[in-house]
Amino acid sequence: MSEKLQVKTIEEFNQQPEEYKTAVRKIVRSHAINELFGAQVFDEPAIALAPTPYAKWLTCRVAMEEYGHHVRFKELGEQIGIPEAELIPGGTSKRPLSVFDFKLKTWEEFCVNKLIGDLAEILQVEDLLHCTFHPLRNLSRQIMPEEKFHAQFGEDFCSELVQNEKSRAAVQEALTKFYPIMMAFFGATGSRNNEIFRKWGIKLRKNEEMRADYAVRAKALCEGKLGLKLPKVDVDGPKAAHA
Amino acid sequence: MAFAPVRVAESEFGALAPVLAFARTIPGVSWFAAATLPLTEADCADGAAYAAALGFADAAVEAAASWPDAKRIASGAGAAPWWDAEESAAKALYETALRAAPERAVLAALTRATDAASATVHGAASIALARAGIADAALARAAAGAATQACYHAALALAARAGAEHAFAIKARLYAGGRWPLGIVDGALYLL
Repeated sequence: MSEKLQVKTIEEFNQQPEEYKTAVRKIVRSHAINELFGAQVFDEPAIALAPTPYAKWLTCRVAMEEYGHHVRFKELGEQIGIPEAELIPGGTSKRPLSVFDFKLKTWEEFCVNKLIGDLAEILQVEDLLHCTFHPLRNLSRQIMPEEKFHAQFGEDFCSELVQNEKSRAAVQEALTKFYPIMMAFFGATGSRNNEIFRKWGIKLRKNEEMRADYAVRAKALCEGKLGLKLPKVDVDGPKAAHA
Repeated sequence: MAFAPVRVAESEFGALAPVLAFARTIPGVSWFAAATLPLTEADCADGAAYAAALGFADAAVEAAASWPDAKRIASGAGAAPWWDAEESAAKALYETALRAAPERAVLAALTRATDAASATVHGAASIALARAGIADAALARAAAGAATQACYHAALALAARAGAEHAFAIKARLYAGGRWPLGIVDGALYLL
């Protein structure tokens, strides 16, 4: 089905089956909310934690880019019929991702957040690069360079921090706390939503496939490049309630 | 935590009209165009006035020699007193602005300035770096972050009607002259 289906415009979107429209709306709503939440609870507070003007200004720009991603997803969401209130945190009864429960306290934690948090975001956006809904595909292409830069930001600052024994220990501590939380970022194993996304070619991979890929890439980055140690985690992740 | 977007009709801005007018000028500024050029008398005078207005009257005004030199200066220790002085000034201006206009209108006006800056300054910084033969995505973004913050500060000074000799109004003139003020470090204000 998905090999033939290509939805190039909002007008074509409006003519699709309700299941397709609902699935696309779920993804756009999720990205709009999470981009804003991430900017509010991680990027903006990190400006005060950054140790130098250079790091503060760079973080300021990164925060604005994350807000910009929210704005783009929100605009697309409104075009496909999602009420504005549902495109901002607190606008629906749905709980935000558990990753946002992490209370950011240090610069090292923020750098780890960019290192492995934005790596996870890259995987999510990569999966949308082949989406059958072209406006979402194009938006993903637009934001991908910035997402890659944000992950590089994390890698660059973490690379500096691990050179010093004290800050290396702080980075390791942050990684040990933050990495396990990231497992839930990809959604439940055996997710019914994900099955529908793949049925319609909106997403390519299963949640569990993405999580396994993430674990491989995080290991290469954190252990291979930076010489840190990832904590043991359940790469199978949470199971869907119906599974 | 409040996430609701702020929407304000043009007629509600009232006394904040100068902030909106300032926001409209932002795309026309020659951002970073004078970077690495020798400092002019006006640059030095504005630099000294800016430092004095923040409480650093004895600060010398020095030129950063290059973009990499600017990165080194801005990445060094010792800038905290200057940064804190700017933060205190911004906080005081915001409180003053709220006495003159409703908070939602102040926030919306400030957002006009930062949105205009955000859309403009990154490209300008990237071009300035490219002209210097430098490809450094992070430095371009740091410069953009600094310029956006300066626009926010300048807009705050206008919202609070702080006058043309407020530190943030002077800093905006330095940016408008194509400079990047890098901060006051160890007794000197550095300008790229």
